[in-house]
Amino acid sequence: MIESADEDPLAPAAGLWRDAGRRLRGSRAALLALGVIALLVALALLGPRLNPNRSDTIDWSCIAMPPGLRHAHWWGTDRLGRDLFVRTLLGTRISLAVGLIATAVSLVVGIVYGAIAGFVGGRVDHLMMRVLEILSGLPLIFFVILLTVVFGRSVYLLFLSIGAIGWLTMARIVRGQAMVIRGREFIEAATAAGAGPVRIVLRHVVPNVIGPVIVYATLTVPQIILFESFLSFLGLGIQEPQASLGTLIASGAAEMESAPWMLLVPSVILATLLISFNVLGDALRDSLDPGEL
Amino acid sequence: MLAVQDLRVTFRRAGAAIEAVRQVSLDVEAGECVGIVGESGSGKTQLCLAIMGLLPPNAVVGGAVRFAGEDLLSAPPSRLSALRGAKLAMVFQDPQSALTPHLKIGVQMAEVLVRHRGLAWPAARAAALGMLGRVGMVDPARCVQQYPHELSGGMRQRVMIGMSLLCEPDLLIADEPTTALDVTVQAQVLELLGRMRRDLRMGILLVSHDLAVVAGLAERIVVMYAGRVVENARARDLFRSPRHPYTAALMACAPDLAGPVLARLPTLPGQPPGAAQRLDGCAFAPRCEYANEQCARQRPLLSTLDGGRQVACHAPLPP
Repeated sequence: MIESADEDPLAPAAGLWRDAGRRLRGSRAALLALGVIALLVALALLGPRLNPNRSDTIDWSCIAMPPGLRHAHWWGTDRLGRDLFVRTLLGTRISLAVGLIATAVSLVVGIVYGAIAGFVGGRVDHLMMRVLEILSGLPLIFFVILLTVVFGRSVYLLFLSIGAIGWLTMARIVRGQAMVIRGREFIEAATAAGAGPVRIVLRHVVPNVIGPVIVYATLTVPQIILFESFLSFLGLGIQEPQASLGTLIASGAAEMESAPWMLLVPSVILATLLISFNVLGDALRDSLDPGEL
Repeated sequence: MLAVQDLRVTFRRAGAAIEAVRQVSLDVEAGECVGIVGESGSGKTQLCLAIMGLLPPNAVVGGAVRFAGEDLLSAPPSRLSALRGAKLAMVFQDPQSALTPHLKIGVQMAEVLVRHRGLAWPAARAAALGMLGRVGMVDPARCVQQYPHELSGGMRQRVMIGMSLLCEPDLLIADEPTTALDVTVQAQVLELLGRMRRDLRMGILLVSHDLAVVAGLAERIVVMYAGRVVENARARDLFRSPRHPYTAALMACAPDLAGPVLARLPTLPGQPPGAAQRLDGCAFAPRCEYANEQCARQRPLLSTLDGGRQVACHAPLPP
């Protein structure tokens, strides 16, 4: 990690992120995972246009057609004769969107809440943590059902309600990290060098917290995708004729014996997505950690 | 320049009051180096932290700390952080944990100047580079691009010292700056401190458990025991004739490398009293070979002897 000698030592150093990026590029597994995720995102965005079929048109001549390249239904069709290629990719799009947006919501709320609780400490921390415990004591499903009943079913509400619950664990992780960092000597040294509380939190605490947070966030994405499919299965999430990976797997599981591809196609996509996110999270943690922490 | 008067640091924990520093008074003149010596737990570090205003919230501080005429104990936090790092700097014991791990050396150092001097980043970076050269880093240009974990302990302590000196402080508090380092590096760091002190004409408060570390640098030495000052004298006088039995015992314990090899190093038997313990008599009496009946009953006050030195003992050793 030693810079080449001809580099200007006075050139502005991007610091943490540039080095993390460099280390990340050195990891083959991370690049592969990143590539797979990029590919799936690109497929989800562009894929449906490559195929002449629509997601909700029924092809009466091809009901429960197995996958193949001879006909227009590359990944086969389902019981109703709808094209699985298009449906799976549209489902991937929705699942990814739910996972990413809900994670972003939980990230923002969790970091702010946790950093304040952990860094301020004392009575404030006590109060904030009790609120958190009460919230996490509420049954999740009950909460989501309540929200959907009050505000009606919509994808955006799904983003919001899952994100609103996902931040609880994030806040705990950030709080714990902030408390550990607060006790470290370099915080004392930074104070001794004249840094104020805002600077200390922004420059010395948050970057040290970000490692575990990013790792947890990449693990939250697949969790939320799974939770979304669970909600969709219950009829609270994505509604027909829209599809998410979860609803596709649920309907595929019903046809497992007669049309296994209906289960396999969305499952393989989901599994690939989840594994890639996990590998990426792991590599990110390694690359964000400059030696000791 | 720095005047500490009757400083007390008490920690409240579960109803019990733990007295870490009990009525300590000392002065550091401009450009003077004062050494503080004492065993672990004698309150040296808490004294430093109290001066810097870095004590945890459960600490109760009494007395007065004046720095260039300004009362530090009642100063608002914003004033304190403007002083710290600029006029009043501190070097910590363990440079491994006192440097922020994820920031490059150059960035960490430059930030001090950006904060206190309002320099632009490129100028601050150039100044940091220059300072690294002054503190004897072999390859400053490379060092600014490195992270703390890529440097050796001695190099890290050089960085710490350089960082604390960037704003040319009037007073440097060095809390056991060499304890985490091995002996040869120790000598280099002490030499560096002495040189920078002459260059910048700053005062140093040098804290150590090791008399030998303090000996080369300090003009005045304050010996602490169980949170109190037991002897305060010019270094030369102190080494020539320690007046407090504890100082004498400390000096006897220091191995003399030039002398004959002893079968067994002299040690000071017993333990210093705990900080929670209430003491009526002299805190050192249980371990003191000269202790008499009065020592157990009545605490000796710090009294001034001839030559301006102070000793807290009922029966000070003869000069």
